[in-house]
Amino acid sequence: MSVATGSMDTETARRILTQVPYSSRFTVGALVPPVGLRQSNVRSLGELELVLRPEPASLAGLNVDRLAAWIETEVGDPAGAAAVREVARAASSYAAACEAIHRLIRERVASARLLIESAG
Amino acid sequence: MTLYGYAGKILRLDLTNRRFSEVATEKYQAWGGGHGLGAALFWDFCKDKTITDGRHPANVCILATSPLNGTPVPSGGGRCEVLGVGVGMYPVSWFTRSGFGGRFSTMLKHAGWDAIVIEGKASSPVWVDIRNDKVEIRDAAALWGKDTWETQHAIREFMGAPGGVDNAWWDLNPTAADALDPARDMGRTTQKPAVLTIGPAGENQTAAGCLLHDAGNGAGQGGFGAVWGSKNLKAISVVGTGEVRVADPKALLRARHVTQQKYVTSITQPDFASWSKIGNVPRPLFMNPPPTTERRPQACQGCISGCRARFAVGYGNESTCQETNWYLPAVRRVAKSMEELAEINLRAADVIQRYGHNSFLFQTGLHWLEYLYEEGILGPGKAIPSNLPWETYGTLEFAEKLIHALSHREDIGADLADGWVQAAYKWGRGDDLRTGHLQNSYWGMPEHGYDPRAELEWGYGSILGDRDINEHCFNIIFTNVTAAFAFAKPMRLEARELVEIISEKLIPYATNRPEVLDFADANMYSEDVARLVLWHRHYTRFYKQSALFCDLRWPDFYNTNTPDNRGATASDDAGEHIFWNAVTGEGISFAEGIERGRRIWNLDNAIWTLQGRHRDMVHFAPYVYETRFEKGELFPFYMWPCRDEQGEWHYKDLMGRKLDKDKFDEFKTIFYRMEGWDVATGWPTRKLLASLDLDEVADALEAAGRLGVERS
Repeated sequence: MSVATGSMDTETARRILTQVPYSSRFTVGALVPPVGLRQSNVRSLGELELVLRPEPASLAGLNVDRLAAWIETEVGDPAGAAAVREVARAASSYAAACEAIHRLIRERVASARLLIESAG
Repeated sequence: MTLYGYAGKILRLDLTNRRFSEVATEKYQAWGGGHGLGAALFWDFCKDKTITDGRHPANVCILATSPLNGTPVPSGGGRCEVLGVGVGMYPVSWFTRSGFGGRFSTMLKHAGWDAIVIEGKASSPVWVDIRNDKVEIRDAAALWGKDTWETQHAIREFMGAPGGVDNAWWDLNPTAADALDPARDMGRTTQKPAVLTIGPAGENQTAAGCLLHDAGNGAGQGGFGAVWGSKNLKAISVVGTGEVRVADPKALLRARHVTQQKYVTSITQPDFASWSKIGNVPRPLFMNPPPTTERRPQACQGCISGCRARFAVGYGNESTCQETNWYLPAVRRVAKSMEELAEINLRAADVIQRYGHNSFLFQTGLHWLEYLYEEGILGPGKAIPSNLPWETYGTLEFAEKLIHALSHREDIGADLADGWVQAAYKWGRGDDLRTGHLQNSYWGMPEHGYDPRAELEWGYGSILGDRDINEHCFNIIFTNVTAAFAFAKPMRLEARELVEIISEKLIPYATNRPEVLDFADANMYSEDVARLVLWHRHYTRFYKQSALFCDLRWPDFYNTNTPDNRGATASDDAGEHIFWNAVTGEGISFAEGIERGRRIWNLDNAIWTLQGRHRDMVHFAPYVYETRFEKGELFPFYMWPCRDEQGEWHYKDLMGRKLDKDKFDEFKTIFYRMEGWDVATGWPTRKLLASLDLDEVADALEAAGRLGVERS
């Protein structure tokens, strides 16, 4: 069992694919030369996956600890949050952490979709 | 006498009487070109310099080229400067500037004109048809209501110019007799006319109105589309078959060759640590994924960078930077894939270009509108009534409806048309400027991606001037250093080495004074930083906005392609002044260019003073003083070279701080004293103006009771 599918039941999968209320949004940024720091926010892991997708001339901006807390409490995915903390701790740099988190979130969203589809 | 680099004459358009006349450029040569030329023309031809709304009939709008336009100066030949009193700034719309790239300025030079002065107001919509020396002010009834792209197509069709990418010769003369004029190479060309136009946002005189040229070259800030709309001016088309005479072609080509051989990174080897280097284009300046890899680079005329693109899919062409980002945060709400995200996002870029609407207002504004809607403040039957389909936020359909409403003064567009900060106060949302929900930090304009609490030269320069400066000279330090930290890579240059190299080029005010780059808490209101801001204001006023070197490529302070890491700026082999001298034959030093910038900047301040500026007005929006630049929210760190208590240089994180209002006020006193302005008012003094050969300006200020006083 991969970390992406670990501890996921249909209820968790539904939460992963659901948009949280606006008041529970998570603020993210991006370093985009020459424009600088770009502000944004996300309300679901699906949006987060799009934000984190590696780009050759920009870099996502986020606070990993706050992200993990948001996934745990607002999205309602403690296992995902633990996995985020784990891959971030193992990464050699902030950028490497972003890439690892992106892979994790992408797989987790895909797993959630599969689970919901198979559950009918 | 030959004026090398100049066409030799300026076109003066009197829209009220539908006449035009010529002014000799020679009188204005000392101002250089671009902003300097335009500010001097504004001073001479604007009869009421107290106006504070660009839509006033007395406003004069100027389009000004540089001697470098139409020459092969690397990334220095394709920009055009726009000047006049702006629209929608807060609390006052200052005499301000904008600029755009593409082909317009070079075509204007080839047609024989250095600048266009637009005065008065036509009684009904008109457009201006310039074909070499022939100028016609034509009826624009059939164009009014068209978007920016439709307008350009219609004008090309009217003129018989080939469309698409055909390279057929065509005759730009309206009659066969005209075509026999031997002075102009028979008036035949393969070039399409270069058209600058407004869309619905400008026609309806909204502060968001842009001037747009080709698919995506826009002058957004300042609301110059609204200025044109107020004058009933829909478009200016120009096509020319002349030439630009260069004083020393051999020196020009030598410097260009040096640039290529010595300073440019290979275009095929993108380098994370050299984003801003001349010629280094990691990819088009998109802020989001492009729709396809099948694309061609597209550049302003003469540019070696090609920071834009044209795509095989046929949308998103020529948009770059902010236009490709204005709707991105919303699209993520609905996109199910990167492909869908890219398509909606770039089609939204096309929408905003066609309406001629300034995309930059959404940098902070889109988040604010979403916040108001989601908090139940804005929407059907809410405190801020809006019947837009907010539940479809993020779709292309919503983007079109939003931009349509804002461009036509419909729905919330009725209030936003006069400026976003003005709308905030009208809606009783002034506190949003205190909390930071609306981050329009200087003169009612959106904060750029460089927070004024960290990127001091950007914030201070903007509030001490007239607008968000949008000058990327120094923030390459932040982006490169921060990126290196993000990737845990060793810095190519240690902090001390970096600031020493840069300060070598801060001639003449801060030469070899690296402390001017120290943005640490202990130094952020110092004379050091004031000295940096001083250099920056003067450098950009001449080299960037008058000589029109492209902001995204110049200056080149440090360059890791060279053995000693020194960039081209101020160098003796390919510095800015080397190119200027090769084209004009003038022989100025780099420092003399800075001095020209000082003169131009001070003329600007004299105009702001006549408009009513006083130092007490020069303050940021409240959130800059009252809230912190929150650490880790937008990025984990904001790295910048700073000295520690022992005077040792380190890269330090600047996040987590706010500006102190009283200390910033003290900083203004230091800055004003350095400029020679009255420290009590910020007004220029006679002594200063006389030293700049601006006695006539001092006389005007004295007559208005706004001449600064010398204080000990």
